[in-house]
Amino acid sequence: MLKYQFFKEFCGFADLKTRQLRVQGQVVDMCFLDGMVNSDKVAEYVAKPILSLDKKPTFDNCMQAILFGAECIEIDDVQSAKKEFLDGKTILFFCCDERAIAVDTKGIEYRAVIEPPTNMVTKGPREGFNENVKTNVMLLRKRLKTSDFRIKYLSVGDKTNTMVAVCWLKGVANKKITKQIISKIENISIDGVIDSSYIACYLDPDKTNLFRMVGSIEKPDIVCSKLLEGRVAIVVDGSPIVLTLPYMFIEDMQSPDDYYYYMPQMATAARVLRLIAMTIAVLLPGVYVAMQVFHYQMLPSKFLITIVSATQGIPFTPLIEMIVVILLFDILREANSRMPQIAGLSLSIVGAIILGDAAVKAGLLGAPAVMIGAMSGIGLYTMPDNTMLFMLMRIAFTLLGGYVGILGILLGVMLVVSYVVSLDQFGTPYLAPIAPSIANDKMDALFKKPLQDLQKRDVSAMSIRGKD
Amino acid sequence: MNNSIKQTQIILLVIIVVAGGKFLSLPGLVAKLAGRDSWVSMAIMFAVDFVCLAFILWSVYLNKGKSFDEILSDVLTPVGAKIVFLIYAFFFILRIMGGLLDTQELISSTLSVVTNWIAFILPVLFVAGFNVVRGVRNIGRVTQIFFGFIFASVVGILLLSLKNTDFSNLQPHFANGFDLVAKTALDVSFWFSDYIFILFLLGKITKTGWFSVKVSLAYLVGVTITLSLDVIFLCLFGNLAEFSSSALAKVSGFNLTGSVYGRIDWLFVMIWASSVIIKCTLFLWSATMALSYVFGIKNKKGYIILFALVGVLFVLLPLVLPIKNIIVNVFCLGVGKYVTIFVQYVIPLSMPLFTFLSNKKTNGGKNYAKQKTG
Repeated sequence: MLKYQFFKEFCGFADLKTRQLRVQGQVVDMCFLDGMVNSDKVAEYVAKPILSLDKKPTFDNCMQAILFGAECIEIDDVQSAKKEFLDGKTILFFCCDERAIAVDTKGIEYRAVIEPPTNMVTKGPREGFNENVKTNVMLLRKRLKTSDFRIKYLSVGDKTNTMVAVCWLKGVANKKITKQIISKIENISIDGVIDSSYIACYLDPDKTNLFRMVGSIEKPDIVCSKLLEGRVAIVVDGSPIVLTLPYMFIEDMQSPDDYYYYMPQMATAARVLRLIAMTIAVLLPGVYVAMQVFHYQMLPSKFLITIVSATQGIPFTPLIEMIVVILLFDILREANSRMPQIAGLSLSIVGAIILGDAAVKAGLLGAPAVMIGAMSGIGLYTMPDNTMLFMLMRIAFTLLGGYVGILGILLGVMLVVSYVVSLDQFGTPYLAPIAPSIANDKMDALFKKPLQDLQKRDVSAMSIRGKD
Repeated sequence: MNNSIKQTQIILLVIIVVAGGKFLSLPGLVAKLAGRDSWVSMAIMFAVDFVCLAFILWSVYLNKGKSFDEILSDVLTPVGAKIVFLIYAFFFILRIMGGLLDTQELISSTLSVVTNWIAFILPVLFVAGFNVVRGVRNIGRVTQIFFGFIFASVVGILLLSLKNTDFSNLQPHFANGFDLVAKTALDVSFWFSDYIFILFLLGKITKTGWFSVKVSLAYLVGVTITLSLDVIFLCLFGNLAEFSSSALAKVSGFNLTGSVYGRIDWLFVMIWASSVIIKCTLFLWSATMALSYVFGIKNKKGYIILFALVGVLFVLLPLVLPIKNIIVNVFCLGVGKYVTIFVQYVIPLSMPLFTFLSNKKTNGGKNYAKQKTG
């Protein structure tokens, strides 16, 4: 009955391969998906042990024979058979037996464990995740050699049945948060999960979706350190990006490099620089426009003279001029990320240097506006995960600066801050440990203390030991 | 609406509300009434405030988890409590309007941005309203973010002005007698007792070590900042101080190196202005809480409707009434001050007694319940 139901389901499948293994007059039906299995494994661990049996190939005898070579599980319903079969396992059906065996003969090719293009470091481990959930979990497991490292596998997506592994450290991560995360993932109702970002959408509490409240990391060493801080990691099959929760804004300012310098002062300097760069990226174009339009007295006289002489004859208002510069930069950035790598470099040079220079020489744009636009644009990349958000914010602040002046920018900043401080996730405030101020967590926030001074875990990550 | 707040946030809020907004039209007004000794009038009011703050902190210490409305309802009956809250709401709304009208004037005179009242108040109300609806916790967190910048801007203004300060302008002391100074202190009392927002946090404050000491120190920091700026203002302007409507805009303008550095002081002034917005947001929250007690509103939707009504008042009243004149002539120089003194000083000074009586009433009730059930 099981065999009949199974074959009825997959009848007409182009890549369904079936073989009949005849041993001592009895037949064992073997089926697998072409391309999903490793044919050597099928021959070596399935066909060979069964064909060399000197007794009847019953369920128990075959299971015993195969168990020596490969992982196999017993199946007694069609749903499980379908699931295992589509997952790349070889299914064995027996005469007069309502049970089947699923043998792990998966042979899907995956990318090697290489240094990821994001999260690159000058010093430190170079391993990165790939698209295989098992490999990714193994990369974590090999660093966390403790029985406290726990994993719960879930299947998400009605059509894709994507394997999702929720990982945490027992005794370190908050039980309540872990349960909430698992429950949220279990309740996801979606056709398919193509990437971990699909899961992130369901875990992100920010209704505007502007502020990213789920960490996304491509390096196992960083995920391990997050797990040690009491966070929960979510590994999704088919995605090299591992999600971490709870997530705070301050994590955007931290880079893996900060932890591999043995001098904490270097990390502090780098973080302060990133904060300054972010502020410049978001606010400088708006402040520049506001000063040109409303508050030119705020500029030192020599600087003002330089700007006036540079912007003489420009046909646009300061606001339009700056918006054009920002849009030009964003178009170049967007095109550069999409065009082929070989063309990208030369075209970006053409775009950035020739276009900018030509626009200034033609008198369409002022050199100060181009310089400020470029400075702001480069600043966006000091926190690469938030580039799009900061890009939108700088346009908004430029408009505010152009229409309302510094007052508009101040109110805009106050509104953004008011919104961001109101965000929290699983009880963890998004702006912790700055607002609310948490002294213990500040030791590794903007200013980094030496490693030996970091005696307690982050309270904001709601770790159990940190709360002590 | 999340109204739980941390001690650190209360401490920062105390500094912000004591210093914020007191450097707009107030120094000019006090100088007009008391001349060169106007800083003494302000110091007297701060001293009176300190006593009231001590009484409020005492009631925080005595309180056993009851909210402000529960205490007042226990002691003054629910109707009496509602009348008191109505006066509180009225007081807070007037204070906010005064502060915002002064801020609008400061921005117009400093940054040369001509903004009409509606264009100014709507975005400010939007920011304030967002925080009010989210609760006092949000206001506390915003304060934590801005505090460093506000403090740095005040230090910047002080440093820029200090170079040209002539302290001999403060002399002669008490040329018009001490009575005038004391009378002026009473006249300008409307602008003080900013810390009464703490009353609305009763029952939500977790009392851990040295809370009262820390709040008192925070208050003294706020006082030091305000008095320092006022003294510098008087020293810079001397007899002309009374003619300056926006003190802050004028003080830092004495920076003679403006052509080399630009009017960097305007940036400080703008950052400092955020403290006024935070203060107004906190008072708006207090006014909304007071009105919610009056009308018995306890849900978020109700708070939003209340806030919308208050917002309409904010937009329309300054268009039809000379609010600044009313504040000066009725609530500073007129009899109106005796109404506000009731909620500014009488209620805070009575709070330890009220809290004690309320606690006693509750304990009595419990015992009575015990006897009845036992």
